[in-house]
Amino acid sequence: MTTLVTSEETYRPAGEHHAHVDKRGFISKYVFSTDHKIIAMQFYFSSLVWLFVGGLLAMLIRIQLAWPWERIPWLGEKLFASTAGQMPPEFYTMLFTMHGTVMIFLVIIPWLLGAFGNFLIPLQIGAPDMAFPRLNMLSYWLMWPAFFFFASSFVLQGLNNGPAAGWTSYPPLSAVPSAAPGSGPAQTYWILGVTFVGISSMMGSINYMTTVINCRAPGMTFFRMPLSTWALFITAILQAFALPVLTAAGLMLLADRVIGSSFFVPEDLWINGEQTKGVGGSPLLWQHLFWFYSHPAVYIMILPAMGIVSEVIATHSRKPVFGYRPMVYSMISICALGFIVWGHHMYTSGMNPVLGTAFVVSTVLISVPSAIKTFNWLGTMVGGTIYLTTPMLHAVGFVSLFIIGGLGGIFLAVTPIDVQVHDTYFIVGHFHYVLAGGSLFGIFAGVTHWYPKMFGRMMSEFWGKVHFAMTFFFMNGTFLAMHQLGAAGMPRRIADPTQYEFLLHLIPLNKFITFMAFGMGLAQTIFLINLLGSLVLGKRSGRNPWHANSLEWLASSPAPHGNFESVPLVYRGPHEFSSPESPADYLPQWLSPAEVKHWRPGEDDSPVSNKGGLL
Amino acid sequence: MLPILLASDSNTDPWLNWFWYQMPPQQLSPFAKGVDATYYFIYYVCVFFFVAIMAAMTYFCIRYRRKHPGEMVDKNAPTHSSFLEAAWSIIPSILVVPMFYWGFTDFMDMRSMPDGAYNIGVTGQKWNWTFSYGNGKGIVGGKLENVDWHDKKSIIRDLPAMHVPVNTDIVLTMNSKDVLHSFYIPVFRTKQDVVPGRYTKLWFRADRTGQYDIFCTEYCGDKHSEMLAQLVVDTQEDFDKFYNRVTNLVILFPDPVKRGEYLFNTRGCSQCHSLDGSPKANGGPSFLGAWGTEVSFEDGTSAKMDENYIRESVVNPQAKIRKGFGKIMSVGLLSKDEEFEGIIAFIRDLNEKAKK
Repeated sequence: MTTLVTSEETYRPAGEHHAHVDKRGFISKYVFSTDHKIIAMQFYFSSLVWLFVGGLLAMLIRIQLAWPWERIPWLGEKLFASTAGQMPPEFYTMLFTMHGTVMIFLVIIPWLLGAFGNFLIPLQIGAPDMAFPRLNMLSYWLMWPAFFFFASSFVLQGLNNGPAAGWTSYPPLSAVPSAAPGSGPAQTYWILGVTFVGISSMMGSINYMTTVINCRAPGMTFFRMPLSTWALFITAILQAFALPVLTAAGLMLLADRVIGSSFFVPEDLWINGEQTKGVGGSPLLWQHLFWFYSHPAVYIMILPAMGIVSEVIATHSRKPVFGYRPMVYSMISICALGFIVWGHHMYTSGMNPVLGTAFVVSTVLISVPSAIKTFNWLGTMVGGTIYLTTPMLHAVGFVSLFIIGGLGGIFLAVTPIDVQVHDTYFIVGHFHYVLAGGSLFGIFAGVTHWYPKMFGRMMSEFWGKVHFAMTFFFMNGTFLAMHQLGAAGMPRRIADPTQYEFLLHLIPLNKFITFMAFGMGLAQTIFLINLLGSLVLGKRSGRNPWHANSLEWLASSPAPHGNFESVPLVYRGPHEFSSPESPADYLPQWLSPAEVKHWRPGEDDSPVSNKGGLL
Repeated sequence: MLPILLASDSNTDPWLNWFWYQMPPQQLSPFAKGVDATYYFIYYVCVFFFVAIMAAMTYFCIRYRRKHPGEMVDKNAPTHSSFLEAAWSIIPSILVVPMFYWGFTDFMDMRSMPDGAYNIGVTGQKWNWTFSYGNGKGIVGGKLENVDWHDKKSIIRDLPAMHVPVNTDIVLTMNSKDVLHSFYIPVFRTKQDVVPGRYTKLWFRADRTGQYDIFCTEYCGDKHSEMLAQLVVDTQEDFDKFYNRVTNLVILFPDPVKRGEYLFNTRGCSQCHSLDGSPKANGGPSFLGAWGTEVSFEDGTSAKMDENYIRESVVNPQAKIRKGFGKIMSVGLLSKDEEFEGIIAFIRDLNEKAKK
């Protein structure tokens, strides 16, 4: 890439902005903070807490599927006294509803967009903060009403009366208050929770878009932005256009429930012996509106992870990203195609088969940019010097798991196969490969890669690798087997898989999956201990422990209020690893060609703690 | 090949089987074979790419790992290749074409209803399936309360069962009375949501007799996993016997009063005749308390309301016109002895109820 020509190389307003003396008190510094990094950490830690809540719900789901209707020792006596220790179906339906809701709305989206979006965007484009810091603060604090409503929906009506319409919340089950045990007040709280998450994300999206467009440092052109910022920028656009539809649909559903409107409730329904007052609404309308957001949401949850992984693979392979521009273009085309594939969730809903076929075309087309990204990640590794550090292992893990998720998606895009496996465990296995395998491994790669920048310390490499190995092994054991269950015909969302002889031979497989899931849950405690323990015990890191190029590594670790001592100037692309112009195997974006000549690489970096990796 | 070979045999050891188990073993409908062929085509393409990519990635991780500190990258290593990038855009695009084509043709087969097929109505309601035959004349349902879930025989005996004749195209016209359901027969590789407020259709043809499982696969509430039914594929003779049984009112409603109530509600009587004692506007007299009373006519005569009077009033309503009502009734829609028996018993029973 060519060097910068925009501004004179000698210009550096050093010293002028140096005096970011922080006079804020504790509350304004750490609680109601407008600093993007503190807000990022607030998202980060609340997502961490909810990750464990969602994980525990998953463990309970697995208990029921492996030992249906059996008395659960100890826990059963505490929770299910009225049913002699057996898990009632009302409880089970609440479990899978809340597991999906918590993991999607309170873990993956806030962690990737709220935490990494907030942390990385200003640092990587060389801005002191977001464009709208107060809006940013509001976007976090609007998560708390959502936390409150989701938590209330668990407890206020009792655990057996939680929201029980699935995370997709299909009406009429979710629209008629008497339709299901938990579709009374709990379902209303659920809708309010989703609405608040939606408003919060909306504010974040506007902020991210504005910041990326307006606040880039001098010399930071669009095609000099790191791929993680590109991914977050594209995701913000995707979210800004898709999310209002879900929020509007949520308000319509709320109106159906509370003031008796009839958007989604057809005429003459008899639910539990009572006639409803619906007039001519359509339950399919909700499905269209819901998936118009929730399919793009899949890309909202995977694109930032792709960006993080691109960054991590390039840095830890010491090579520029293979095909930087095609990587950007493929993300843009995934974003565009992501808007016109929602119908593939509805092949069995009774839509016109010709329309269904149009959705097949757009869906299989998405496999092309996805394939480009996958092969470019491999191309980045070729000829590099690969440091098998914890973030790199998670990134490589992401690629392999994302491939399985993506290939599984091809089965589901082809209509007749989807008709067979729709609403079976095949789907469950597929989207867990994308969300748990893809997004979560992307999060792990991001957490371990930027941990020194966030907290100024290194995480334990040893325990990081143990966590990776265990999670990778148990994750495949859990979700690969689920494809098997689904192809054999086991439906999802059934509280009792033993009703038919046809499924009885799958019980041993279900037990196997449960043990694997327990192992995966256990591995996350290692992650938690490593993350929290390294805050105190981790080795202090310098500015640039990974010898990376992008601007966040110019700021000190942890990055101070205002991020940079002076406005950084950008001279080149973000992935100039092993450039012939550099004396080292990296060439930071902020060094002018004149500075490179006198540059002593690694002068303000602490020693890198990794020792060449696992092998 | 292993999955296909083992999938054709459902009786192998389940522990061995579950690992190779892909689709359910039997292929019964005309499109099952096509679906399975497309499935295995995609499966092997995916396995090939997965193994190739994983092998390459593992190789790169080992081949290019940092072997000693300070090792530098070959500065001439590729960072971009138009040829490679074009190749890995075009080859996947070509591979998805046959998948799309087979998927499209199979889907069109699934969703195009055959002409002259045998029609069965399906109604889903939490948590039960009801099947209706012959324009709603015969209805088969089951009560889940009667099912003993620990007793295999009870599950088969007491669940609702849909009977169909073998080697005949069957079209199901489906509707839900409450929430969304989905009608799924794994061995037929077909599934269709059942939606309140609209009708959805599903067709299949069974080429073998036997008993198969029907699931609800759209989550419909806490007892969703118990919303099951049996599909019984009969020979034509067995199916005819079944059809006669379910459309025979005496068998469906052995109690004449219940039979009469069913007829009153389904044959149009209830449009003009009330059961609360007051005549309907522009309608006929109420049935409540009418049995055994002396009724007077337009021509000044009167008669006692008994069996013969009711039968005559249905078959030839103009024979005796009730005072104050006029000639408004055309012929009643009853013609068989067991139907008259039912409606008479029903009207007589209304008196018993009125006394209570």
